[in-house]
Amino acid sequence: MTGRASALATWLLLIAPLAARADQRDLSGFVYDADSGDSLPYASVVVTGTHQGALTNANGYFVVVNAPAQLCTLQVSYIGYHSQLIAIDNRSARQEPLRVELQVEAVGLAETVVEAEARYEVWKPGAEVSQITFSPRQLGSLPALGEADIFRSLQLLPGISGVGDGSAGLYIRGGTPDQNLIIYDGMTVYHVDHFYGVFSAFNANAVKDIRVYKGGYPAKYGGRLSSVVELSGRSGDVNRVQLSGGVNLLSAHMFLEVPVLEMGSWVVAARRSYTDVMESGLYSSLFDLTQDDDVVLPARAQSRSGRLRGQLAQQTTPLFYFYDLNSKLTLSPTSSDFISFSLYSGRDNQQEDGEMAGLGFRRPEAADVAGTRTDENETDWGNLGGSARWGRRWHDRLFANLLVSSSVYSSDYYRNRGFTGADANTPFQARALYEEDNRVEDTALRLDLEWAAHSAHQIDFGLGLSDIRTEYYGTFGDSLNVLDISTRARETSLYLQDRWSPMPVLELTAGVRATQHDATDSLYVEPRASIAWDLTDRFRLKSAWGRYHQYINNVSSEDVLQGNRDFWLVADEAMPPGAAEHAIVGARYETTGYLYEVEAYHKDMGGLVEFSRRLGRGLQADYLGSFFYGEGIARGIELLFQRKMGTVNGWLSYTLGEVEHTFPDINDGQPFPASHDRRHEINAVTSYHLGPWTASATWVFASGQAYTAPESQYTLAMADGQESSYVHIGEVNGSRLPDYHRLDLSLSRHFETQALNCSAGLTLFNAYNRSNVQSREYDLEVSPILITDVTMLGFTPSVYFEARFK
Amino acid sequence: MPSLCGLLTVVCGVTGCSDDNPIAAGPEQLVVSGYVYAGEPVTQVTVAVSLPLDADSTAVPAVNDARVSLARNGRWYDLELAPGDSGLYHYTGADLVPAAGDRVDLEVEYGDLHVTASTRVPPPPRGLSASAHQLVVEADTLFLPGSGMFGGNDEGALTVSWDREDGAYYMATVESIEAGADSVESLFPRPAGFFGSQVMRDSLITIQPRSIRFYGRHEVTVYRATEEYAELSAFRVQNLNDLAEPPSNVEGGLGIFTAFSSASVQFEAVRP
Repeated sequence: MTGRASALATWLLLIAPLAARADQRDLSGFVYDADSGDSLPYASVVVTGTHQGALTNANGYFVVVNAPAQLCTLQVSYIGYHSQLIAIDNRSARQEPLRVELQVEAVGLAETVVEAEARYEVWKPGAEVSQITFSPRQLGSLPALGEADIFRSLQLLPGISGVGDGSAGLYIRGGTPDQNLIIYDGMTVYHVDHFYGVFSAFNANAVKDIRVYKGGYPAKYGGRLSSVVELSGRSGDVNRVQLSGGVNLLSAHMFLEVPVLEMGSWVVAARRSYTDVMESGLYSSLFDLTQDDDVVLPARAQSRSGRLRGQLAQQTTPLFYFYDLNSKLTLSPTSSDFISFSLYSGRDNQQEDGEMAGLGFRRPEAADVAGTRTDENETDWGNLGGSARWGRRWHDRLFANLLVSSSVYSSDYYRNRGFTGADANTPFQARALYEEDNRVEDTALRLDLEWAAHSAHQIDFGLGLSDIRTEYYGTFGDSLNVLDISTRARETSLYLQDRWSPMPVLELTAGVRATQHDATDSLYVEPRASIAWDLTDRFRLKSAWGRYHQYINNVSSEDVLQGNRDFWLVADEAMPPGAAEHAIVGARYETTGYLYEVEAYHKDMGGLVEFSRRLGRGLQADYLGSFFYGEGIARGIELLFQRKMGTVNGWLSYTLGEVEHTFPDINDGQPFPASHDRRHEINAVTSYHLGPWTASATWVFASGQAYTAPESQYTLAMADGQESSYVHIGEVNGSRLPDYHRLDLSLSRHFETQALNCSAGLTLFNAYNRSNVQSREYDLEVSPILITDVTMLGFTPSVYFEARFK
Repeated sequence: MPSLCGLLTVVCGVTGCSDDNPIAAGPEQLVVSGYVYAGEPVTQVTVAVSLPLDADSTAVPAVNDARVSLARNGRWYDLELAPGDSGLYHYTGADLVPAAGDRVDLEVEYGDLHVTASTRVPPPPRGLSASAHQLVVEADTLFLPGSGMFGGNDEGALTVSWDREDGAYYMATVESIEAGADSVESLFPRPAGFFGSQVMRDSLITIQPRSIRFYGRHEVTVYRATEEYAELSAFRVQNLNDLAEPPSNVEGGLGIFTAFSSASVQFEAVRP
């Protein structure tokens, strides 16, 4: 190609689209909830009869660039709301943007409005690759443990899983929860669950929209290896004071919405468990879930007629509570300015003191002895964060968001185990202190700009500054050896992305993100690209590729006896940032009522960190030598069938996945399955609506997860004739728990009184009482060694009631 | 409600076929403790199997019917079970005496279990010498339990030293070798001999008079140990907090197979 031809091609591709024609005019507006006036982010706006359209941004704003300057019809849809067809006269310029209001129920709106098509019920696959939009509004129709839970509901989506009843963490496409960037109103949240993971830390009443990128996420986001979960808090009712509340067998919550100065609103959402005041049956079940409840011995041992139980008796005194608080003030002083202040606080506290007394304690120096083991155990963890955001529509085509946020996560674990006892002659006394304190402070400033340069080019760019500090202090039953690490990093990020539609049926997105990380004094450049090609109106091919880095690591601390713990540390020279490369390819076939989707993914990961005192102990004990670094591969394929609408709707998904880690200094450098590796996962969800009644059922199946197991014991004679006894640990994650499956059923009803809109529901969790195993624990201090299956919740009924003042 | 019914039907079908894994006992593994000494017949190869994790007893299940073979520089010899049922195997012939520098291989077969191990006999310590031929031991010397044998800086102590080599590990024993020797009169019992439990990189030991139990001839033997034994020695007691296990050079099983070379000097414990 000659130089002149190249110039012409460049002009045609890049410059020519920027020139507007006389018969075109931009069409901009905001989309709101008709009832509350709250803005609706990421709603879809399409000019019917064309391929032109847009998504609303976080402020509910959209602009369709170069829309036809004629009478046209907009189709506006948002998950959980009825889609609307709105007739628009776009022949003359507007002074103000459009105001589009969507209703949960089909009610006529301003201008000419008709219901266009059935709505999605709970979630909707987004326009971008591997992206999902999820609405908490309809969560109440799904079976829930106690109350509607955002993250546990997300676990029902293809490619997203938990590891069991006791985890609200999201394992997305072979990633771990720490590899997800969790953003709540712009602030990064580092710990996302309550009650050891049984519930997510976000009050569903306070969240209006959730956007999930399962992989291949765009250049706007950075700092995590796997995925992005962005939650937008509700802004509240701008028209009238609203008060609602609810109660279930575990906690109570309230939600208050107050209009402010006719230009905004203020919301407060609070939730607290009353488990420290009153213990319900559900609480007892959940508490048992977090305890060593079921002693399961091999058949050989079970025949010993309960020798162990008869001689050692344990008493545990638990005390537990959690709370969370969300507050948000949203103001719109002008039609172009949007200011919000958001606060989030959530905390868990568990005290679990125990005492075990009797005969049968195992000591390395002697035969079994009688004694008493006391256990003081307290864990306290939570987040506190706030953000201030100023959004401004500088121009119909240019929208900017300036955000300042600060987030603090802290976790304090204290355990003091004492033992006093004696055999016939010798008294024993021992004490072991375990402390693990972890703190993350994250302060950030971010500027995001959205420039709708042309109908063919949507350009996003911005910058971010952040200062992250982490502190970790740990002792592990040995006060002589302490792991005490403080790290700090400042990051500067820039990104630029162009979403280009060279043809109406083709969308190419190319972007790059660059981050300067001062703790490693390195610049990390992350190119990203995706393509979506509509072969027909119903059939879409899509693919994405990108590179990603993570500058703060959630280190998994191995504990084969009582389950792993983890802690956060900022990456530095000693602990380099993690890196990942995503490759995704998929296809979607969608009709009015059904969706069929398949996506395959491959994710290479580097800079993975494990902390194992067991493997790190050499001739010189040094905890700093107990950090291991390695690589991983996650790959899989997801199949989805969804019935989007109708009296009976729901979805069925299957994921075939594999997560494999390779650490040079673990398992002789041979690959081993990650602890969250699960080969098969099936999710089946269905809802049936009949008037005010909704019946739902979910069934989940997952292959058993991998774990590292103590396998046997042996004795070695040393050269001097003395003998030493050992417990032999099997291969890393070489054992598998039994397969997990569970059926939940629920029935809910909406009804009204003169003053209240109410809903009540009954959930039968684990309806066929499957005994799922969460983990295996081993007590080596008693003889014979005690093997405990920590089982998950059995059949657990729960009820809830919610009311909202009219 | 066809969808719900369908789901329930599928669920009942799947759960009806579920196969729950019971807690599986770890696989039985051969445990070998094999020690070979340069210049000596092979007499210390012990074979056992691991115990189930929840076993009532920690008594070692000795293996008395294994096939145990040992090769010196590629030539194989079959070992026999020593008298008793302790799982101890030895070589009864006189043609197997490993020497420094030899490669020694071990192979054990027991049922379906098969393990192999190999080691190289290290060279003996060089330049071994004692600071004196006699050590004066007073009968009324107060022995303080826990004060150690080799520590201290008593003027009357005897030192044994050797040439230090980079990366080498050593152990030392002190034994009375005189039959019928008189005991030292002491307020506290003294050890009859000592095999140093600690592997060291030092090239010197100090023998305190208060650690001597008998008068008469004594032999100080300094062993050169392999790195695998040094690592095992560091794991004499398993820490239940981290469950770190000793490294094993036994392929397919657990334990240790290693070799030692030694050199010795003598001294005489005498009355003042």
